[in-house]
Formats: sequence, C-alpha cells, structure tokens
Amino acid sequence: MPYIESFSTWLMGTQFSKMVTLYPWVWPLSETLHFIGMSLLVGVIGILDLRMLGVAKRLPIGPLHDMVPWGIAGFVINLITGFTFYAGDPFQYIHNPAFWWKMGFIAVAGLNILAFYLFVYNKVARLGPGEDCPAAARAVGAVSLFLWCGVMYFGRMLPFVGS
Amino acid sequence: MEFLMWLESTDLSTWIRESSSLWAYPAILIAHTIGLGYLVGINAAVDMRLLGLSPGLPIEPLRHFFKYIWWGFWINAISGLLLVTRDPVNVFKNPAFPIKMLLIFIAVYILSRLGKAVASSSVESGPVPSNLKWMAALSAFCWLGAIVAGRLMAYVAPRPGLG
Repeated sequence: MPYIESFSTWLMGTQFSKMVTLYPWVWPLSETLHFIGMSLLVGVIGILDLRMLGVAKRLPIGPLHDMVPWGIAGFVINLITGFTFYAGDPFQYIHNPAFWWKMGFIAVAGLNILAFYLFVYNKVARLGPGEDCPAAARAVGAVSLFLWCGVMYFGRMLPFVGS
Repeated sequence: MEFLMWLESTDLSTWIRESSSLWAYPAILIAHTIGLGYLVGINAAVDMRLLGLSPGLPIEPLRHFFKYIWWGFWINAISGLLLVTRDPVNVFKNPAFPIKMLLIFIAVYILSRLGKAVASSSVESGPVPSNLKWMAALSAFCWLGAIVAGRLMAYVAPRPGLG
C-alpha cells in the first residue's frame, strides 16, 4: 500500500490535518456528527430494507424511497467527518485491520445499492400497499441490514484492535 | 454514593473495566452503537414523515416499525446499564450524564405516546395533526441532544478513560 502511505504522509502535512489536532473541539464535534449521520443512514435505509423484507407492507415503496436522500445526507456527513478523523491521525487507521474491514463493508454495501437500482428498484417502485417484494428485493434488503450492522461493528472496534 | 462504590467493587464491574476480552467493554459499546443507530434512526425516520416528509406515506402502517425502535431501546438500556456498572462513581459525577438521561426520558415518553398516536391515525396522505407534528419535532430534538450529551460524556469526564 505504498500509495496510501505516501498519501497519508502528504495529508499529515496539510493545514487541514493540523487543524484537526490543533483545535480540541474538532474531534468531539466530528464524533457527534458521525453518530448523528450514522443514525440517519441506518434508520432511513433500515426502514426501506424492512419494508422489502415484508414489514409494514401497507406502505407503498415509492414514497418510502423518497426518504433516501436523507440517508444519503447521513452518509455524506459521515464521509466528511470520517475523513476528518483520518486526516487528523492517518497512520492510526491505515495499519488497523478494523478500518479496512469497515471500508470493505462500505464498498460492498455500495455494490448492494448498485444492485438495488439495477435489478430491484424498477420492480418495487410501483408496488402498492400490501404487495410482496420479489425475492431479489428481499435479498438486497437482508444483505443491506447485515452490511450496515457490520460497518457499525467494525467502526466501534477501531480503538480496540491494531495499535 | 455508597451504592455506587459497592457497584464498582463487584466482579461484574471489574470484569467490564479490566478484562482484555473483546466480549467485555468492546462488545457492550458495539451493542450500544448499533442499538443507537436503529433506536434513533428509525424513530427519526418516523418523525420526518410526521413533520411532512414523504407525504404519500400512510401513517398507521408505520406502527410496525416501532417494534424495532423498542428493540434498539432495550439493547441500549441493558448495554447502557452495563456501561454505568463499569465506572459508576465517575458516571454519576459526569455533568453530561443527567442531561443525557433527562433527554432520553423525554424522548422515550414521547416514543410511547407516538406509538399509540400512529397506530390509531387515519391519515392516509398529507399533513398530520399539529399535536403529532410537535411531538415528532420534540422527539427528534431530544434524540439529537441525547447523542450530543452522550458523546460529550467522554470529554467532560472527571477522569479520562470513559470513552
């Protein structure tokens, strides 16, 4: 991973990285926002997953899916705050297996979302109240719940493994 | 105070505090994090619908999501009790702790009221009555505040190590 090592070294020399370690409020503020973003993300995505799995079937999926931008907002908050942690102390992360597991789970969750829009969305968006989702939708929903739980699991494991 | 000191001297408290097992402190924190995600996340999604988002969603079927919100709550009540058990004297000295507890108390009270109001709602689309809107707004505010106070606990602790 020579590219990641050199990128991390370069990043540590930037003003942004120095700011993260210089101001004592940056880290706690970012952590708080990271938890708020996480809740938005897993809550909004979670109810869509649950509906596809057969919970609250009277809800039409189209309008339920309209909430997804708020889940994306949660993800963007976490991307920014997560990058802030990484910039503040990059070598604490890139040598930590929990970090790479977390990134891997996020990447696979991204592929799962791609699968949702490629193979599932058109079939479920028109489903009205009370209609069952096809097997592919149930699979995507179950995989999504599992992966986001895994992301939270490895995120919280970060301080306990590695250094 | 005597009770807290006794609690701190129990085997359970010592084990959570000192064990290097990933099943001790880390597992409890992971449970507390995942519980938070679904407790606050799904509750927030319900709040957002009540506040006017995704007006195409009928209200009554949302009651099926409350089971999962309560699951999140009980996971966090139990894991939270264990986190207090780990370091009871310091937790009770922590100025952010009573604020967190007060906000959770209000949010959970609203959650139980909201559950009943949602289950008996006849709103199929569009805005909900303003009392429901106010409850949703207060619910979202209290959960946000509880997350802020909870994260702050790690930074205003009487002695470090309450991460």
